[in-house]
Amino acid sequence: MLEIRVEPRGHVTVVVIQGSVDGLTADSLLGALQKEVAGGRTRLVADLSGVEYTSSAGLRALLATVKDARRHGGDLRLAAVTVNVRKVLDLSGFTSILKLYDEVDAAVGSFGAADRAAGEEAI
Amino acid sequence: MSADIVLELPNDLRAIERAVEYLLARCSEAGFDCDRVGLKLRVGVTEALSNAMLYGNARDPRKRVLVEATVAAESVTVRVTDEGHGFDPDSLPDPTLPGNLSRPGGRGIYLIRTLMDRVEFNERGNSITMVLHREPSGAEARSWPQ
Repeated sequence: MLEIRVEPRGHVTVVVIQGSVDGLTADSLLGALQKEVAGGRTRLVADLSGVEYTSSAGLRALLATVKDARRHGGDLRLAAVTVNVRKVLDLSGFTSILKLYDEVDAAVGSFGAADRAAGEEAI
Repeated sequence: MSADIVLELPNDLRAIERAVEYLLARCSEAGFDCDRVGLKLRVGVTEALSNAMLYGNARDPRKRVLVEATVAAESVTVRVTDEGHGFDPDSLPDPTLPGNLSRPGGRGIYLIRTLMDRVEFNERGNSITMVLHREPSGAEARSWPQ
């Protein structure tokens, strides 16, 4: 079971995710994130405080969205990552390509004027 | 493998969570550290079952996935077998190498190999056996988040 809620925060969109991200639910997450990017909302923060577990299918959804957002001048940044999810991100090497923040507010604030002007480097 | 738990699952991703929760409950009953085993076994078995259903059995709803598990005093062993033709596990690239980081696939088996204490495939490549020890190794005990 996965619950996804979208909260606009100024020029940033926070996607609050609750539940487990696995092969059964990853497509829903990917669809929700891609809908935001397709709608021009490319500065995204994923609030993962309610995600206890992600499988490699969840990692693929995050990776696809990061690439898509950066191609359009934005980024997907992760906030409030739980210990188990952090461990999987670390093991997969994702912490070297994704920006992680302890708090949602910090992740939202990280999208400063420079980001609005230039966007992230594409991967 | 003489298993004390045998589950025959339909080739349906919805069956994974219940099977994993059942195995975790059996490990908990046997006194395994739920925090450590909770993540490692959950990731390992979930990835193995997903691979079996999506790639091994090619999403065919007529096929089944066999789970055999033994919860012993020192370790838990889980074998996942599908009805597919198998694959060569050594052909998968390391997804953490710089050139592979942005590639979408190949992380499931990598996670299994990293998290479990021992991983073996049969010759055909349609059956994976994963072993997780009750006690962490010295290096893991120092690095594992508490």
